[in-house]
Amino acid sequence: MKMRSLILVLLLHLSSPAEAGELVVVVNAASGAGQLSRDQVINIFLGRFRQFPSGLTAEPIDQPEDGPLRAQFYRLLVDKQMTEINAYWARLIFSGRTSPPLKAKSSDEVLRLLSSRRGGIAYMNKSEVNHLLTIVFTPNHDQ
Amino acid sequence: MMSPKKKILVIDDDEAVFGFLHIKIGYLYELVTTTEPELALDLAVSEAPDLVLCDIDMPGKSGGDLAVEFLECEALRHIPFAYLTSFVSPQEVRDLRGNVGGRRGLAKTTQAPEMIQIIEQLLH
Amino acid sequence: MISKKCLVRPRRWGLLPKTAFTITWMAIVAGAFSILMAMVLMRDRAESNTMRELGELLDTVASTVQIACFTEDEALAAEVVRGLLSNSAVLGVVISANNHDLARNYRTSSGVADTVGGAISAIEGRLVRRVASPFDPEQTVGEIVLEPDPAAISRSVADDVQFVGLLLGVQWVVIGGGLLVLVLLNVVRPMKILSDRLHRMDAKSGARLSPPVGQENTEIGRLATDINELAAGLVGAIDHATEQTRYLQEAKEQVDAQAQQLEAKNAALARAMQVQEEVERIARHDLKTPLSSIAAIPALLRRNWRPDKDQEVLLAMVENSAKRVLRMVSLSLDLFRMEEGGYAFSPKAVDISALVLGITQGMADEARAKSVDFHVSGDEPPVWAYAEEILCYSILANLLKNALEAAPRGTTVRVSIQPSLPVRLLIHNDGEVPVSVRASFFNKYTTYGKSQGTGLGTYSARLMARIQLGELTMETSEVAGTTLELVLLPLPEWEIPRTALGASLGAPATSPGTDVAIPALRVLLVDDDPDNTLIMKLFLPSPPLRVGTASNGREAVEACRRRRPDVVFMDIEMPVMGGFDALRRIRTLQLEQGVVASTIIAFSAHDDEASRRRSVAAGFDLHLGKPSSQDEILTLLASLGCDGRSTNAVPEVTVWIDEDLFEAVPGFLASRRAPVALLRQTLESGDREFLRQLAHKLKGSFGMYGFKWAAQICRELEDNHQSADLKILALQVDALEQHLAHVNVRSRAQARGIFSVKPGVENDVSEEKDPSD
Repeated sequence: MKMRSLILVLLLHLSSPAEAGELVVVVNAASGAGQLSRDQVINIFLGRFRQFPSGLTAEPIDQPEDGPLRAQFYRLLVDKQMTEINAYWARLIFSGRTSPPLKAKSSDEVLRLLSSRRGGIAYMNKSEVNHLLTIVFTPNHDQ
Repeated sequence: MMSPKKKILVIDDDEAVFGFLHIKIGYLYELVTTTEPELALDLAVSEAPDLVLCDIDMPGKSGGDLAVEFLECEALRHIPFAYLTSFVSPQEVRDLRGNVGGRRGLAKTTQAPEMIQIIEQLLH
Repeated sequence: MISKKCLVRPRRWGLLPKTAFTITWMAIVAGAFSILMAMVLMRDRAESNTMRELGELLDTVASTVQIACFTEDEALAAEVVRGLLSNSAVLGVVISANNHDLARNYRTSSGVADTVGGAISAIEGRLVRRVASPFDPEQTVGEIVLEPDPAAISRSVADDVQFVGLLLGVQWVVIGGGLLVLVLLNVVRPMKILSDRLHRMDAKSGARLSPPVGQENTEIGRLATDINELAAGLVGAIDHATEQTRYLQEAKEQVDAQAQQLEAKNAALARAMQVQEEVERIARHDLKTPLSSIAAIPALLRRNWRPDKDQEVLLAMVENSAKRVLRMVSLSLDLFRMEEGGYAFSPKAVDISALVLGITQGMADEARAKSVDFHVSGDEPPVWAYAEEILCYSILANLLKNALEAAPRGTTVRVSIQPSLPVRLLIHNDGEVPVSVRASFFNKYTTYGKSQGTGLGTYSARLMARIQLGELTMETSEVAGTTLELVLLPLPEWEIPRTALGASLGAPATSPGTDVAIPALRVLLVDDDPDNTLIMKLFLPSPPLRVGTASNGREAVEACRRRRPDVVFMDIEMPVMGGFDALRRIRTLQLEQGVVASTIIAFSAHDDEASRRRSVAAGFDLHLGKPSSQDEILTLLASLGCDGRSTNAVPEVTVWIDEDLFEAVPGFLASRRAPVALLRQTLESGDREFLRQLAHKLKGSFGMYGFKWAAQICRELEDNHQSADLKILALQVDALEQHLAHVNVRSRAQARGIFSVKPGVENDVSEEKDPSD
C-alpha cells in the first residue's frame, strides 16, 4: 500500500506545478495568530489541541473531500492517506470528545468560513491567499 | 672265660635284706645297696646298674615314687626296675605272673634258685 | 483349638502378581514424577505464552490507543480498556497520556468492573507499552499498562498439564503395560514354570527339570541345567551315603557275630578250665589217696611181720607199682604245669649216680630176663646235680626203661656219668631208632612199638630236663647205636651237702619210728573215709601216741568235748559237718571249757596255696596235704611240744636256718633287737600306722632268714594294727621278744641227718607252710 501511495505522490508531484500548487496553512488575518509549528498544526487539525498559542480556540476547516487539496494536505502534514484520516476520525466521532474539522463544500466555502470565523484555520493553494488571510505554516516534504 | 658280673642296685630301708641277698645271690651278682631312697637316683647314675630292685614300703619315698622317678630320668629309664617286697608271697608272685602293682616284682621270701631265675629273666 | 501360630503361615506372594505389582508401582511413581516436572515446565511456558498473547492483543489495539492518547480521548480509551478486559488473560488495564490516566480498569470476581481508580498490585509480568503518536512514531503521547491474570495462567497451566498428563499417562500405560507383559512373559513366567516344576520334581526317581519352552538357551535354561546337575550330584551322594550306611550296618553285624563267637569261645574256655581243675581235683583226691594208701601198706606190714624172700618180692612189687602210678599221676599234672610255664623249678642237691644205681637195680630182674646187662660207669656216688629228685628219677627211669626195651638180646646198656660241669649222663644201647621215627623222637604221643608206651615218655623226659635248665638229646645210627645224653646243672658250691645223703626212692623205707622222738600226745583223727583213718592209725605209733577217731565233724566236736586231744587231724570235706565248721565249734568249745586249744591240722587233698591260706585264715594251726607220708606226719608230731601246741600258736623251740644263712643269723638277730624295742615303744605311743610299717618290715626280714613264727607274729601285728586292742598287741610283742631271746637256731644241714627223709622234702614241708606267705 505504501508503495502505491508513494508512486501516486510522485505522480501528483510531477503533475502539479511546484509553486502554484504549493499548499499553505492560513488563518484569518484578524485572529492575530502567529506562525505555527508543524506539531501545532497537527494538533489542531487532528483534534488533539485546538488552541492557538495566543489562546484563541482554533477551528480547523477541511477542503472538500473529493478535492485534491485535502489529501495533499494530510499527506504533507502527517504522511497519511485519506482513508487513514477518515478511519482516525471514525474512531473519534463516537467518543464525542473531539470533532473533525469543518468540512467545506468548496474552496469558496473555505474562504467564506475563514472570514466568518475568527479562529478559523484552513489550507489552500498559495495562489488563492488574499489580504484577509495570513499564512501561518507551509508544510513541505522535507519538514 | 667268665663275663663280668651284672650289677644290681638294691634299695631297702632294712639292712638285713642286704645281708640276706649278699649271702644268697652275692656270688652271682655285684650288689650295690642303699637304705636311702633319696640317694637312689644319684647312686644309679654313678653306678649304672643292670637291674634295680626296690622295696615298696619305705618311710619317706615309696618304691612306687622311686619307680616313677627312674622312669622320668633319661639316663635311667632303660634300666630294668623290679619291686622287692614282702607284700606278696612267692606263690602270689607266680600267680600274678611276676606282675606286682604294674611292675615286675619279687617276693623277699622267694627261695634263692627261683629268685635267681627271676633276676635272670629281668636282666634279659 | 488351633493356635494362632499355625494359621499364620508366611505369606507367599506369587512371582507374577509380585512382579506386576512392583512394575505398576514404579510406573505410577514415574508418572507422578513426570507430571510434576511437566507442571513446573508448563508454568514458565504458560507465562511466556500469556505475555506474548497479551502483547499481540495490544498490537491489535495499538492504533486506537494511539489515537486515544493522542487526542486524550477518555471515552475511546475506556472503550479500548473494556475491549481489552474482555480477554480472560487480562486482569487490569491502565491507559495514560501526558501523565494522567485516561482510563483504568480491572477485573473482579463479579465480572468486569467499571471502576476508575484502584491501584493495581505490583505483580510481576506486567506489560507496559508506550504509546506513540499516530502521526509521529518518535513522539510518545502516552502509556498503556496491561496486567495479566495469574488465575488465567494457572488455568492455562492446568489445561496444559492435564493434556500432558493425559498424554504421558497414555504413554506410560502403553509402554509400561507392554514392558510388564514382556517381562512377565519372558522372565517371570518361565521362572514360575521352572519353580513349579522343581517343586513338583522328585529327583530321586530320576526326574529331570526341563526348562520352559523357548528358554533353553537363556539363563533360565542354564539354571535348569545347573539344577539338574546339582540334583544328580545330590542323589548320587545320598545313594552313596545309603550304601555306606548299609556297609557299616553289615560290618556291625559281623562284629556282633564275632563278639558272640568270642564270648562263646571264652565260655567254652572257662568250662574247659573248670574241667581241668576238676580233673586235677579228682586226680588228687580220687587217685592219689587210695594209691598212697596202697603204697604205704607194704611198709606197715614190714613193721610187724618179717616176710620171706618171695613175699618180700611181692611186697616190693606192690609198693613200687603203687608208687610208680602215684608218681605218674603227679607227673602228668606237673607236666601240664611245666608246659604252661607255671612250674617253679626248685633245685636241690641230687645224687644222680645213686638214682641210676637204684633204678637199674630195680630193673635187674627184667634185664636178666632179656639177657641185657646194665653197665654203670663213672665216679662212685655221690655225683651231684642241681636238680629236683623226682624229676630226675622220672627222666632216668624212663630213659633206662626205653634203653632196656630197645637193646637187643644179649647186649649191654651202658650208662656213663661224667661229673663235668655241667653234669653229663650218657645212656647207650645197641640198636638204632627207626629212621621214620627219628625226627619225631621227642614229640608228644610218638611211640614206636613199645607195648606199654603212652608216647609221653621221651617228650616228658625232655620237658623235665629243660625245666631243670638242662637238656636231653638223642643220637642214633646203625653203626653207633643209640645214645641219649642228659645234661643237668652242676651243684653250686654252697649247696654241697655236708652229710652223705643215702635214700633214693627205690630203697625200702626204713622204719622211722626208731629215729624220731615223738611226745606222748593224744591224737584225734577226723575223716569220713575209713581207709584213710586206718592208714593214719597205722602210721602213728601207739604208744606213745594215743589215737582216737571220728568220722565227721560232729563226732569230732563231741570227742573234743569229752576229752581234749592234743592234736587233731581234720579232714575238710565230710558229710554232716565239714572240717571248717568243726574247727569253729571246737575252738569255741575249748574257750568255754577254759582248756588249752588243741593243735588242729587241716588234712586235705587240696594242697595248693589258696587252700593252705584258707585253712590258716579259718583258724587251723597247720595245713597238711593228702596224702602225706608217714615221715612227714611223724616229723610234724615231733615238732610239737608236749602239750601239743602248734608251731604257729607257740614259738618254735628250734628254728631251722638255711646253711648259707646260718652264720649270718647272730648278726641278724642282734640287728632285730632295736626294731623290736621300737615296736614296743610305738605301741605305747599308740601310733598304729607306724606300728604297721615296722611290723611289715620285720615280717619281711624274719621271713627271709627263716624265722617263720616270728614272721607270722609280725604279720598278725601288721594285719591287726588298726583293730586290735593295744594290750593284746603288746602281749604279742612280748612273746616275740621272748622268742628271739631264747630261740634255738639250727642249720638245716644238721636236720637232714636226724629224720632220714628224702633230701629236700623237709624243706618243702617247712617252706610250704611259710606263715608269712
